Amino acid sequence: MNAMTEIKMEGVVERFDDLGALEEGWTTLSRAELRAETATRGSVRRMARTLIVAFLVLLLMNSAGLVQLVQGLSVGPVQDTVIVMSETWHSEMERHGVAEVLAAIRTKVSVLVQTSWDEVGLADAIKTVSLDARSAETENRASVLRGAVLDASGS
Amino acid sequence: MLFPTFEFGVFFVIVFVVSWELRRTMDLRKLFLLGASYLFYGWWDWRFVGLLVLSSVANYLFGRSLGYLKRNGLRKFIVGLAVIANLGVLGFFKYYGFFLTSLDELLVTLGLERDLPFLEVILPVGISFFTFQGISYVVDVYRREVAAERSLLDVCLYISFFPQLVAGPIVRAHEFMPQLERTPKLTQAMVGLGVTLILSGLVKKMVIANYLATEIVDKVFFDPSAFGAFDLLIGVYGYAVQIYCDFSGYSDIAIGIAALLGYRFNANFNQPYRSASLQEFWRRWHISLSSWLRDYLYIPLGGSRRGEFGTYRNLFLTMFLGGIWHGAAWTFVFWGAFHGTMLGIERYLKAKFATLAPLEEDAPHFLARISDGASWLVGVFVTFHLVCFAWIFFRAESFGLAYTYLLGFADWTTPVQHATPFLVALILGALAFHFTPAHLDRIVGNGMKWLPSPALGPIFGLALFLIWAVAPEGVAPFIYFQF
Repeated sequence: MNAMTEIKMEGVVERFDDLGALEEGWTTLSRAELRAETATRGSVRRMARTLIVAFLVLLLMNSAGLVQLVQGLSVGPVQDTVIVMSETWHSEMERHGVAEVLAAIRTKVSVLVQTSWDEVGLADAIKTVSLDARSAETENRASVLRGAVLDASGS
Repeated sequence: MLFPTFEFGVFFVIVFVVSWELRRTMDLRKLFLLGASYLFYGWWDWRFVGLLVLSSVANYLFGRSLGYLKRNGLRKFIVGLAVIANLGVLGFFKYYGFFLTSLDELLVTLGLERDLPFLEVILPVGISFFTFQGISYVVDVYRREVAAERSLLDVCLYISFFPQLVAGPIVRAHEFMPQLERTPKLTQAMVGLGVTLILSGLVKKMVIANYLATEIVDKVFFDPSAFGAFDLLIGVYGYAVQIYCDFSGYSDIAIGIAALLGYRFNANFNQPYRSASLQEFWRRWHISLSSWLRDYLYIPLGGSRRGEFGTYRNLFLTMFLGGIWHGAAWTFVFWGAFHGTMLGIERYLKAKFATLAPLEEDAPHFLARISDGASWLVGVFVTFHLVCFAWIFFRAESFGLAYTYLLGFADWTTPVQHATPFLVALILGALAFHFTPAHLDRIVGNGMKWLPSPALGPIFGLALFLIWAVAPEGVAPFIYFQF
């Protein structure tokens, strides 16, 4: 006997024959698998949203990079529009001071990279190492010379 | 396609979204990932995609034959043939020019000059890595550690999967193939770890490795005679840190990307410069290669089961061949032979010390601790400097330049030119990282997994922006691409 089952979901009524039976080719999912599937769906959405937000942050902060990137595009109506839009976006970011953050960071880093031993107050220590080595070398040469002179004098 | 580029960013976003949309139809997902991997590889040179396909199909057929055959002799013959075929392709592309140049030099020295068939052979990116993966699959099937795969798609994807395709980590068949049979899952922890590893890899590569390469390493190794000992010392320390950050940075990004696509790769580095012996160093450095060499070369040669002499010989041969794997140049051969010799000496000395000064059971605890701590410190110092000495030969273009580099350590009179406080701080910082808790990335990733996307997104975006802003301009290729 075929039992008829009705399932109501948000106003939609679906009718199933033999709800307990499985048609050939169908498989059952365990609760653990269902939970994993739900977790995966959640994690994928979360990562997708993360990527979108990260992209927007980059668009906001790195408008100069965007202009640099689109200028490498070939010539064409679509590319020209993209270039104009990117440049407009960049000038807007410049007007609001957001684009300056990149330049400010780069300037600070450049100063840091070029800092000399003098500026950190360690120039003397570095020079001392060199001078000690130099005096030791001079001493060595002198002793070699002294030896040579002594040998020549026959002492 | 390089990881730290805009093209790769777009490529990854598309692959991420489409591959997860296809997760319910496994074969379609795998087919898509394979297509994406071929696109990723073909970005360098489309002609070599054919080689990749050929290598995958050949290894699939070898695997199927091994699965079908029952007679041991015939199976041994097939696995031998597979190894020869794989190494033959690698040998032709990587060592043909080197072999002929060396032969030519030898013939000239002996006064037997000949016209040799020189060819302009272009080295396909990542050939050493995908060849080793192919060998790993066939040997694992031979050893019955994995079943011969029926699906050609699975074997092709295993060999060509883009995160590890061009510079590792060398993924083993028995670790990866079973993952292809399960429905892929993405957990909160995988997202946290993936994002953390991608960011740490980018910092290592784009900031630390690139600054050291451009500001000091490339300069001092180009002409060592122009620099004094301090620059050369910081140059070699810089190279030790550069190669670590470059390669482990690539591995971090590869592992992170694989995690975001639902696959697990093993760690490839584990704070190698904190090693107190060379043996320990090789357990922490390029783990996927050293374990590959151990399982497919050292143990089949007899490992430590063939007596004292046999063990030393096997150690030396394994490291020697590991050196040749890195590149077709005598400097790499020396590098491998040096490590092999030093590992042998270390083993011998350890055995001698254990006989001459056995551990005293009743020694006071605090004295034992002081003695352990001191010997550990000495061990770390000596190991690091032995590794740095070998790096000079690894990095130098020729023996002549390596020799000039070593001679330069005697000259402390030339003023310091490139070793700035910034670079010294960068090197010290990177070395200090080696003494932080192990698996720091996993700890940070675990913290990240609880962050909701409105927090994780800005953190990820701002971190990417900061890396971009701080890093020197331009994108340098990864060192291990040439291998």
